[in-house]
Amino acid sequence: MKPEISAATRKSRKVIAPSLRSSRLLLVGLLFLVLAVAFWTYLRPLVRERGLESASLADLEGMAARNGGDERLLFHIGRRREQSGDPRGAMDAYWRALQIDQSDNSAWQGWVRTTELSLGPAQAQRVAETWLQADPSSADATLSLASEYQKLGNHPLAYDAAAKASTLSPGNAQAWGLMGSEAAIMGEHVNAETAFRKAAAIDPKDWKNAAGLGDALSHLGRSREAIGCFRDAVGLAPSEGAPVLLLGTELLRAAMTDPEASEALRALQTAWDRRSMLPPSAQFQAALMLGDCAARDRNWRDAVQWYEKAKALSPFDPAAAYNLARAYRNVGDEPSAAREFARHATLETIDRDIKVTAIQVDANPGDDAARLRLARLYAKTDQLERAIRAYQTLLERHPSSEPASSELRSLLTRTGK
Amino acid sequence: MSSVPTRLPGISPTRLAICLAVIFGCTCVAGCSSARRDPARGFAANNPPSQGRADDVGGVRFVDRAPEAGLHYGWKIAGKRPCNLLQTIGNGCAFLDYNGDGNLDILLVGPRVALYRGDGAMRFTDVSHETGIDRLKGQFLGCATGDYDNDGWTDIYISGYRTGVLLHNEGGRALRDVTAEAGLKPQPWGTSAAFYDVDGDGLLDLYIGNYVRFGPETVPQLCSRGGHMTACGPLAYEPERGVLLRNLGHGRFRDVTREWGAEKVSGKALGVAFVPGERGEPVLAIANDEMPGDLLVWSGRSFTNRGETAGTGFSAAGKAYAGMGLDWGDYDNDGRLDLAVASFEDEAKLVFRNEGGDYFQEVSASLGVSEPSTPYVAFGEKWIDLDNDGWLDLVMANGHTSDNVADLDTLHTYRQRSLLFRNLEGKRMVEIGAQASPAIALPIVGRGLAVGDIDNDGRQDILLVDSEGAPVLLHNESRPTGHWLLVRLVGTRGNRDGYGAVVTAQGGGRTLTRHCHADGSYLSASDSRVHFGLASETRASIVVRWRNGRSESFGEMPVDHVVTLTEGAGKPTPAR
Repeated sequence: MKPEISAATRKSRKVIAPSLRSSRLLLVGLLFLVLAVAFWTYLRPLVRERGLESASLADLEGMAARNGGDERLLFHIGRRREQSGDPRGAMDAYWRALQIDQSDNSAWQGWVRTTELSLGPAQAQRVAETWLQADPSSADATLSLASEYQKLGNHPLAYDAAAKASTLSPGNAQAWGLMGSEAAIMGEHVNAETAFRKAAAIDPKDWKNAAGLGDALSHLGRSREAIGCFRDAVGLAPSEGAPVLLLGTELLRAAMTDPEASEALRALQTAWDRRSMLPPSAQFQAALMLGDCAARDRNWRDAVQWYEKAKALSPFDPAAAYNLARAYRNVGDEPSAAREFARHATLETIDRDIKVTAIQVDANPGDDAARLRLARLYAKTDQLERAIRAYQTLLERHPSSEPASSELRSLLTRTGK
Repeated sequence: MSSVPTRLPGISPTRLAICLAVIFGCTCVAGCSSARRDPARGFAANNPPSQGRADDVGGVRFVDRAPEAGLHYGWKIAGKRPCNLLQTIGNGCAFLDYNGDGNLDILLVGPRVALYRGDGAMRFTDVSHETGIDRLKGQFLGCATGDYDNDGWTDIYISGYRTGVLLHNEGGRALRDVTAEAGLKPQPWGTSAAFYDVDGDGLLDLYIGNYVRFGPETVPQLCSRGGHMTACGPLAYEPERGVLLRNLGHGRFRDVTREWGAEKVSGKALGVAFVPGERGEPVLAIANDEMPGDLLVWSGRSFTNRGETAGTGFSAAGKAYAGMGLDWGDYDNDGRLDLAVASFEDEAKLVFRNEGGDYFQEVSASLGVSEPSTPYVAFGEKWIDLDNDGWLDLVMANGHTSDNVADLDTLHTYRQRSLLFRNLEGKRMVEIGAQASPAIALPIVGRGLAVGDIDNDGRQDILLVDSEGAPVLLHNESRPTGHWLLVRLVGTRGNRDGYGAVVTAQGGGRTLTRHCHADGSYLSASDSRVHFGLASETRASIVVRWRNGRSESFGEMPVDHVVTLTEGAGKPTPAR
């Protein structure tokens, strides 16, 4: 049964209907207004950011010239300059951006990065320190500082800073990874293991974490576990050269049976085939290990060839000299063996001299003669970064040291710095 | 005996640089050694590696019988703490039969030198006073044993810091200090020493290792590490080199170090051990601390150092290692004597397989020795057949050098457990120490180590020095064990101890090759009787190649006996 609608009701509806419509229109209008404000407030910067991202450097600089520039505009100018190979210009733009807004992590990162590119890690370290002063609880700033310490070879500080970054941001796999690599550099393989385990748990898809863990375990003598990690790393990056090299190296080190040695050989050969993907030091490692494979099989002629390749890649490495000498001896080439043994003895002596001189410097920081000797020993064995740092430290103490400054100059020329 | 701050702990620079370069694109190389650790984490230095499965352990069992055996002795490091390098060196010990009764006696070296007479039934009586050995004064460190005048009584050389004493055995009644009349001088820092007839004249010559140039005035005494002062490593000091003393007869010795080419060594020796080479020529291995190891090969007139070319001087990576104690033994029963060398923490404890033709291959990793031993600072080390299965096992005494290592680095400990590796048929070594004995798992400041059969039951026992404690006398109570033969050699044309003789035992289709020696390990001397574990063989044919090159067959003999083989006799006589 349909309900009855009274006449009075019908009449009142006719009166109300036009006012309801106008209210609705008002509401819609208000809604549009709110949306416009929201767009203006929230979306416009995103749209503008898009615009800035796609704008050319000239356009950006034109805008800056007209308006004086805001933080984002200056940041993008920095980014564009950096992309176009102008780190100094980029550095300046990032700096100007940060004068306007110090809370922009990406601008800080850009400033650190471009300072390092244009002025070196020592200056970049200062920038990172400035960032950390501006934001003492920033994990990014701490990590950035750790990274600069690492590049400067200041491993204890790098380790500390990375550890702090990992505390500030426990979910940051990069911080744990850096902590792990610094621990490994200092020979702290237990700490390296812990750090890499954390990094690998956070970011299990990064083969570097698995490889770092494997390296730590290898140094701790836990070869079988290390092999497992290196296998994981190979699984994560099957077409990379580095993981398969690490796996082959460890397999050979731990090989107890011929099939294990054969597997090592296959992995190392794969790494060698991919040598264009590897840094020279890793290419050296591959050649050295392939020499070891041949030596294990008493295939001395092949061993000589591989060790010669290793020597060519790293002429100052004592392992190549030593094993090459032994291989030459086994093929009956006594003159070559004698030459390589002598070379090995020289390299060993220099290596020991470096350690002894470093101890002298440590015990007596004012011993500038020892500092100079140390710098020269580094230079003599192609440890150029270390040599440069040693000369620079000496010159900081004695700016007038003529031999140090001329030798540093020639070293910098040699390294193209 | 490296200490921490001045060395690169176990990093193979090549490997490290490569790995980091490969993984992170960083080009760090060796040299960054300022070790730092996270105090929140504990290191597994004393956690048993727990490698050995039940069937790997077999019935191997050792019990510390020092207290009830009557060895009331203790070592204590004198002077201020933290210890300097001299304080960390530790001491040695010896198993010897000074009174010729056929039972092993025990010599303990320290600030107080003590001699204990054994009765063959696990009881030792302190005879230091009656033998006069308690009158010795000096900073004594180690010892070597041998009958240098062929009178049938074992004499003793005691090494030490700025000292060195030769004791003549007066018929098993007393030990007389004959240092001056023998022409021996105090050594700067005498460490391990060894008797051997180098020139084949039938008289035992003496080699004494020396460590570093160090004294109260030496700078630095301590090195800084992580804000703490601790003992410096050996690289902080100039090397001292060992001396070779020729036995001229009539109780006189002359320094022939230079004349016989023994001066061409690296220095910083901690372990020394002779061995007969492939052609019977004397070969002397010297383990040097963070210096290349030496392998002196006798060419008839002088020594040539072949450490580098032969491959024992360096690790497989071509790096010098921190050599401590060492020992020769044929672990794979291929007839060639292999070399084991103890080393510092984060370094593999090295096993060099003798491949013939003066060529050695480092096989520590593939043998399974590296992995469990890497965290430890090993000093004393000996080959020993634990269960008479005919395969030489390996024992190591461990303890850190830095007494304050816990302050510097909570991941490592000063006191460390010992390690016992069981040899699985020459192919693999499995660490079974914790399963074999709580005393082996007990952390000590391990230094000297000697092996010998104290109760003539055919099972080899072990004596350990705890630098900050009491001696540990590990009595071998393994069951079941194989058959055995313990051979005492008596030289008549050559040196009376038979040192340098190679003894082979044939039986059941295999030949075991052992050599007669008391040297090896760290600052210590062991039972010079040649021990054979014969597994299930009930008879064995013994052939002796004496130091003078003459081979002599003693025919087949029953097992489970101590026998004396006298040069030229051709048949065994029951041992005293």
